[in-house]
Amino acid sequence: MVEGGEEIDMPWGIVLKEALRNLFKKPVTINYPVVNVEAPEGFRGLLSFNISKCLGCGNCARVCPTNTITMVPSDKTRLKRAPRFELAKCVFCGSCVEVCPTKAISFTRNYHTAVLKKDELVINP
Amino acid sequence: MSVKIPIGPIHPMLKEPINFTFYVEGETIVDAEPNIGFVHRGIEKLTENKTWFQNLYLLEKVCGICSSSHQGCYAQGAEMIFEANVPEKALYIRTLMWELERLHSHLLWLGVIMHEIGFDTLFMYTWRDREAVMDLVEMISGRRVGYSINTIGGVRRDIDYRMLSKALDVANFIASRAEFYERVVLRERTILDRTDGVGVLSKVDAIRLNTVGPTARASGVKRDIRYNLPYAIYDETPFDIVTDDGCDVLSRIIVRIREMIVSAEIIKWIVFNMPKNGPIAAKITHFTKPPENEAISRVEAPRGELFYYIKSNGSLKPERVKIRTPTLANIVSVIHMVKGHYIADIPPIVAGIDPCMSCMDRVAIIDVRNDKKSLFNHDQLVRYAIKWYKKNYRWLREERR
Repeated sequence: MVEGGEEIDMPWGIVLKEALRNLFKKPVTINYPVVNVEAPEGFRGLLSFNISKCLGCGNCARVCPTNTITMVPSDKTRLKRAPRFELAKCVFCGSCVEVCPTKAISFTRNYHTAVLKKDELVINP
Repeated sequence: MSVKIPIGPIHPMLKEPINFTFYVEGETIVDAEPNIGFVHRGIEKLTENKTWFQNLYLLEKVCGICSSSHQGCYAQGAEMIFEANVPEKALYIRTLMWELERLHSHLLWLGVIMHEIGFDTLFMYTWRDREAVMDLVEMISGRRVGYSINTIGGVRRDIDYRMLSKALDVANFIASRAEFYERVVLRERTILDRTDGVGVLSKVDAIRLNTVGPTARASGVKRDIRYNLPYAIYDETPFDIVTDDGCDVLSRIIVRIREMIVSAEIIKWIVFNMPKNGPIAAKITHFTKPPENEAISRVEAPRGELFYYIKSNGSLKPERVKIRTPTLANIVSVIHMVKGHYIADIPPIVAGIDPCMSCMDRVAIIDVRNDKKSLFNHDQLVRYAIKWYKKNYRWLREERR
């Protein structure tokens, strides 16, 4: 139990001062769909894939924890296969970015991942 | 007497979705029954089908708030299995993230408990202040939630001067805010009426029921893994365990607020003592096979002791991963806390242990005198509690004195 008796009894409360002060401040929230916050440097947003750098080694598909990446046949790489990304499954862990020997996969700072169709989040080689 | 257990919509993000049945006589609770295990996600089984490194990103999804604790605890155990030498700088960065996580978890909880007792003003303030920590975490790791900063053998991202100076600012800011919150909580009549003397768990009960974390420390039990079994760099870090002898919800609030101040001090210490150069991870790759081994790893998560048991059979995948989260250790104590209290006290008491759920699903109230059963959802219960306290606070205040 807290000792103090009448001293604690503050009819207006200690928060009121803070609340009044905050009345004259700008709101901390932003008007999101209209105003966008820029993500900081190094943000792990949607993946981007540059097929011209890809070898087709398949390391990304092997380390992916959620099976976002599957290897499909492709003529554009040296080993005749390339990764296909289903970004709806991605958890943004960055394992593929880490293991890619040629830095073909990289993060963007785009965090707008809501789409109307799932197919919009698929990167085909 | 037959008991019907209502199964409400259960939050899918929780490790321990809980449903309570309370037995009441009039307004007084005589008994309670927690029912757990409605949504079993099978994470422990799933770890056996994924490689050591893939599990890092699975296990941080056990809990959204203490994701770094889970991942760090697993990584720590896996390092014992791999017999890796973790570089010192990695341990510093890891500890920094753990303490930042404790800051934002406690701020979140403070907002939640204030919301439970109907003090939404403070809920807004704490969550606003929490954004400072979240921004810093995002800057360091690249994500606000699920930082994925740990890896087996160290951490994945280095920290630079810019981040460290911001960490210092954040620590100072949160420490000053925590002092303000402590002043508010100890002087605001609304908060004292709803939390002082509510949900009492005696020291004997706290020890007997094996409570962990702030719940135990608020009952005067000096139980903190950072102090009792130091891991990472906690054996070098100077800090004191925060305990309080009040044993009620108010002490749980006070303990967590004071812990934020302690965490801020630890962060400042880390910033000043962080090694300038050096590697941040041992050389273990996704395709390294560990020896046959087993390990136990313990971490003081924001909610209490987190426990991992990991077993390896020498392959690329672990043979067994067992997780014991702090809420599971604490949930039994709720039964002892609510006995003798009023229905209106349920929200602050249940939220007081910081269960890994921000909403209580549904509560069934069974009146033992006429076996009447009524269902409340969480919002209704909070509204009922606020109304009930408005009507009864005068005599309650006298009674509790």
